[in-house]
Order: sequence, then structure tokens, then C-alpha cells
Amino acid sequence: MKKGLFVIIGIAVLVGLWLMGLYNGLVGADQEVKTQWAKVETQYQRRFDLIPNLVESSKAVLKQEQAIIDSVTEARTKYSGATTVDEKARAAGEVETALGRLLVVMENYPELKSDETVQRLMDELAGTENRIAVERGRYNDLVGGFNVRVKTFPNNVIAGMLGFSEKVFFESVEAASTAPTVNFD
Amino acid sequence: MLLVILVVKPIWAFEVPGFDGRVTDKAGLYSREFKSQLEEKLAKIDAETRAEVAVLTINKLPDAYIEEYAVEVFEKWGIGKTKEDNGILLVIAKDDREVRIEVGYGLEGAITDGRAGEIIRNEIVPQFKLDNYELGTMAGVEKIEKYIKGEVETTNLISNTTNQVASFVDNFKILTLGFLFLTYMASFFARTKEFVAGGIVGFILGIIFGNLVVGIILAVIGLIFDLILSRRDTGMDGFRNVSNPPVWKSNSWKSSGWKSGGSSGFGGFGGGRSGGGGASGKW
Repeated sequence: MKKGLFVIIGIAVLVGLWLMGLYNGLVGADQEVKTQWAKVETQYQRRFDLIPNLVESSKAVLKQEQAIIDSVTEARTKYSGATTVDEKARAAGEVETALGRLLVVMENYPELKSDETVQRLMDELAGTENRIAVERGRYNDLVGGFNVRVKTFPNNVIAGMLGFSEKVFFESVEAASTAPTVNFD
Repeated sequence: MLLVILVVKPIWAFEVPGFDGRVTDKAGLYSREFKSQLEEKLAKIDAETRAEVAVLTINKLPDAYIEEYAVEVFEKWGIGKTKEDNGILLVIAKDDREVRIEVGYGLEGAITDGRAGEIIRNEIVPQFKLDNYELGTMAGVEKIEKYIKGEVETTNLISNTTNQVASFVDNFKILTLGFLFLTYMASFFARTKEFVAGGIVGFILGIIFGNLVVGIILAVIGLIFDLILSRRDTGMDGFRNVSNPPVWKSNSWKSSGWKSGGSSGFGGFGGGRSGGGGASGKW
């Protein structure tokens, strides 16, 4: 009889420990996802900072392409006004599209390709785009791991009560741009 | 144990070759003399600056961009010292006529993407166009060395502990911890003559510290323990020696895994990471 009581108390203590472990584990995982998002944003900021330089050093040559340059500058302004993660992600997507078009157009100007400053800026931008892809991929991996943790039994029963819910994946621009966009302005 | 290893084994999108040393010449671009000369050079850079520079030549890229390929190889090899992330990977894909300098987090200040691009355009590509692979590689490496040495501060604050190795080590720690705890509790359970309790405790312990798989493994271990102990009813006597598993070090596991094919005493890279910095070029 006495032994049975011991076992019950023991199990209660262990369940308590389990809850503690679960909570701490989820806090840690949640923080990891946030840290990774910060890395993605660092790269966005880097891109943001590079754009004026690129526009400045190539605009003399790209007189005919004012519309594209404007679209890049506009998208950049929109990004600087974004506050939430979702808004930032969306604005960053627009910058990405506009910038991609600009880089393609620049390929057609041999005088830009022979300009060392412009070349370096383009390397920096290409590097930044690649970093964004890498960090975003890692962000999605972490989100995937986090979601598995939150959604698997027995964690799923408790995670909601502790205030943890499934996180949303960051979709790439390719996927986003396949959806038709309607503009009413 | 085997189960744990299988569960946390990383899945790569494509095959990444193992390294032969600091220089891995899968495409056979270099002579034997040049290869050892280059390895010496890279070992010297490591000794002088702590930066790990690796060279990989391949015939053809798998179904991936050179950027994706390079970052995957970088991650798998772990080029650069842990936490410092001061590694550089030069990838040359012969038939694709593509080259990339992949820069670890810690050297992004010394070798900016612009500088990496400049090295490719001005040092490497002109030589590669003339099929002078050895000259181009050496010129590129020398320029990389210059930039690394010009860097005053090489500390890097981006640290990341969430890789596969870490989670493997974590799982192992859980097992060890659970193991010790079980042995401790065994003295209690041995007197109960029942063997189910050991299994239950093992299972719960596993869930506290990790996941279901670890729980089940510990449950089985616990069951066996309690079963044996209850049968023999001899307390701790038989288990004093077992309760001291070897201390687990992440480094020893990692480097011993990489030792195969290592040349001239090169024991493996330090476990550095890259975030996709660097530049690519074609010739």
C-alpha cells in the first residue's frame, strides 16, 4: 500500500518535470526560430542598403530604364515602411522582383559590365540574394522542426495551453509570384 | 542506439563528396606536386590566421546551382573553426566551367562578396580560360590569403548550435543521463520484485528529456534493468561497473568520422558554417 503511494507521487513529480521540460524546450525552439528570422532580416537590410549605391552608380547609363529604377526605389521605400513580419516579407518579395528585373536589364549594357564598381555592387547583391535564400531555407527548416514538436503527441495536448502554436513557413517569391496580382490604381 | 543515429541522420538533397584533405581534386585538375604544394600553402594559412581554406574540384555539378552545392558542401565539411566560422571553400566545376568562392560567416568582413567576385574575375577566370588551372587556383588562394591577413578583427558573433551533430549529442546526453538515473533508481526497484515500474519510469524520463523514440528506448532499458534486478534481488552489486559509460565528446565523434582518407595528418575541418556569402563566376 505504502509502496503504491510512493509510485503515484513519483509519477506526479515526473509528469511535472515533463511539463517543465516541454515548456523550456518549446521556449528554446521558439527563440531559435526568432533568431533565424533576425538573420533573414539582416540580409534584407543589407539588400536595402545596397540598392541606393547600385542605382546611383548605374543610373547615368540606364537612362532608358527609368521605369525599372523607379519600381526598385518604390519597393524599397515600401519595405522601409513595413513593420510586421508579414508586411516585411511581402515588401521584400516586391523588392526582389523589381531588383531581379533591373539586374537582367543591366546585363544588356556592356559599359556596366566593364565598370568595376558596378560589378562589385552586383556581386554584393547576388551574394545577398543567395544569403537570403540560404537563411530563409534554414528558417523554414527550423519552423518545420518547431511545428513537428508542437503538433506531435503528447506535446500537442499541452503546447496550446502553454501558448505555443504552429508557425507559418516563409514562401519564396517564385511561389508568391505565380499567383495573379491585381492592381486597381 | 542505432535507432537514434538513424533518426537524426541528416538528409541531403544531393550527394556531397567526402574530402581528401584541404584539397579534394575530384576532377583531376592538379598534378601531384601542385596538390601537395597547395595543401602546404593552405596549412600555412591555417597556422598563421586560423582560417581554414578548402579547395574542391569536381567534373560536373549535380542537379543544383553551384551556390546551393557550395553551401551544402561547406555545411557538411564544416569548414572553419567552430564559433569563429572562418572558413573559405573554393569550388571548381570543370565541365560546367563554373567556379565559386563560398565564404564562412566569420570572414564575410574580410572577403566581401565584391572582393570574392573580383578574385574570380581578375585572378582565377583569366587563367582558367587558358586551361591554367593550377596557376588560377594558386593566384586565387594567394589573393584570399592577402584579404584574410588584412582583416584586423576576425571575431564573429553569429553562433548557431542547432545543427544535426548537436542534436545527436543532445540525444546521447539524454540517454546517458537516463541511464545513470535508472541505475540509481534500480536500487529501489530491485526490492519491489516487479519489473514493469522500471519500464514506466524509463518511458516517462525519455519523454521529459526528449522525444518518444528516446522514451521507448529508455523504457526498454528500464524494463530489462528492473527485470534483471527484480529476479536477482541483489541490489546494485551487478551494476556498479555498467553505470559509468564513457564521457561523450562532440569533437571526438566528429573528427573520427572524417578521418577516412585524410592525408598528411589533416584531421578534418573545425565545424564552421556559411550563410551563402561569396561570389560565383564562369569561364
